[in-house]
Amino acid sequence: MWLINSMPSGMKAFLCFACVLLVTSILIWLLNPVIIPVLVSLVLYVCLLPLHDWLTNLGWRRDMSAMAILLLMMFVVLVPGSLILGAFNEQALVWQSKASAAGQSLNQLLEVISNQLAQWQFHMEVDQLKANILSSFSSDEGGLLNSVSNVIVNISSSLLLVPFITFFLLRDFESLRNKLLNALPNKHYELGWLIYFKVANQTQGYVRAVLIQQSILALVAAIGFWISGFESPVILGVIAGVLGLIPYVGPALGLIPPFYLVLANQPVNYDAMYAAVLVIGIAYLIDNLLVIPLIVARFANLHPLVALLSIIIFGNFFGILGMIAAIPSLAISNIVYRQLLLSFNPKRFRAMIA
Amino acid sequence: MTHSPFWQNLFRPPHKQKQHICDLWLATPIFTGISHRQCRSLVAEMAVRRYQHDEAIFEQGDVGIGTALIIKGSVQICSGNKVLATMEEGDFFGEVALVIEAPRTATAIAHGDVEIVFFLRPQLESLLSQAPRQGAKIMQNLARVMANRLGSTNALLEAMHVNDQPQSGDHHVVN
Repeated sequence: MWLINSMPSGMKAFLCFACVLLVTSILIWLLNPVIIPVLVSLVLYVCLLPLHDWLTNLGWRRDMSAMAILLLMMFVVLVPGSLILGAFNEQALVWQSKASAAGQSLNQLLEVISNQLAQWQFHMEVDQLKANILSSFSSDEGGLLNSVSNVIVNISSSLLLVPFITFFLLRDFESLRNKLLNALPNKHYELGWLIYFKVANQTQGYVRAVLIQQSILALVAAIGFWISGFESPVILGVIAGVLGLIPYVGPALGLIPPFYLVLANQPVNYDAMYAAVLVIGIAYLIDNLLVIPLIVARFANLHPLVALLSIIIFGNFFGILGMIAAIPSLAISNIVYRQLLLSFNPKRFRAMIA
Repeated sequence: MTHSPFWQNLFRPPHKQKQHICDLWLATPIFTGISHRQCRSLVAEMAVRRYQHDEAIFEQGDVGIGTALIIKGSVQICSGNKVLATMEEGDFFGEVALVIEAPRTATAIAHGDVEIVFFLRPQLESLLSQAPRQGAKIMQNLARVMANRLGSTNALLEAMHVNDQPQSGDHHVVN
């Protein structure tokens, strides 16, 4: 205790932050088997909370309100959601069956590019590149389409858990939160509430804003693909919307499915590739010029390099889910650390307020 | 060890004093005009915090997020070594933190064993979005309380000023 008291305030804040990080990591590790349904339920909880508050404000009991929302969700969200995921899975299997055709087309395309580059005195390792790309399209265990199909199957099966977790979150989250925060020592009681309040506010705002942003992105992309004459424009639009959750690399990833479709259909219409680039480009232009500044910009105030590095590091450790969670996790850590630093250094806090 | 406030806060028995706390809040100027039902639902979310003699409830410069109501015991409000006021059961303090995020301007220390409930800014903000009329009423009451306290402080400063310089009469504290 003497050692802690004699530490400089910055070190105390860092130690406290490290403890928070450790507890959070342990929680995530414990929740690993059910992490997808828990995350989906948390997103749903954030979206449904205003409706729940409205019902309870009308005089409904918390459990009745949560039950009504659960039933509504079953009929309005879950049934269509399962149908859409089923359609996705079927489409993924159809696309998978065209993998060899796509591979051959890609082979030809790379040959053309390689010859063109050779004329300009540039030489590329075509064989190595082909081997890498074709292995990712192949139908073995590690294949891209297989993993997409597996993810869809995993999400579908875990969807069964989502309504129940969401119900209990709506009914009990606040009392559980109160109990946890009330367990804090007297000295840190208000600080705990303050950090929770700031993180919850920012996270809820971010989740709602991002959902709106991705829906607009998916809609614009789907309309673009439909106008350009792509097959399954809705699915391509939704994939572009979901991949748009991954900052920086999302647009490039969003181009993979339409490119794949172009290559899988014989004869290959290379002009459709330009159309796909144009559609994704326009969708992201609208996203970056209109949607993000109006809806999302309030949230993560991070340096672009820090954001990019965090996406790469999180992606390396936790895959696509890590890439999606990188920016919000970093922004939340930023809030917690800054608040701890201010709280352990009252002079700095007073200076900031002044 | 079982007498430590930490364990008492963690494993306190379900208290039967909600009605008492509700009555105490309704008697404060902050809750004037608030319905009993609304007050009960707010109190349901409040937790009783227990403090030992001489334990700091908050210290000058700490971050504050709510106002505290004394439900048992007394609390001394200090600045440095000077005791500014002694608060008793039913008194509330730290209401500025309900409105703005600012450091605490004084230290509050438990005098004897003390029980306190906090009304937190998130609760007020949630009330403002869910029951805007009741939330606005509390905000109006808070403005009154702070205006009254500002008035008293101005009067006190003016009295001190007059005592120091009896010949001057044109100086006023700007609000």
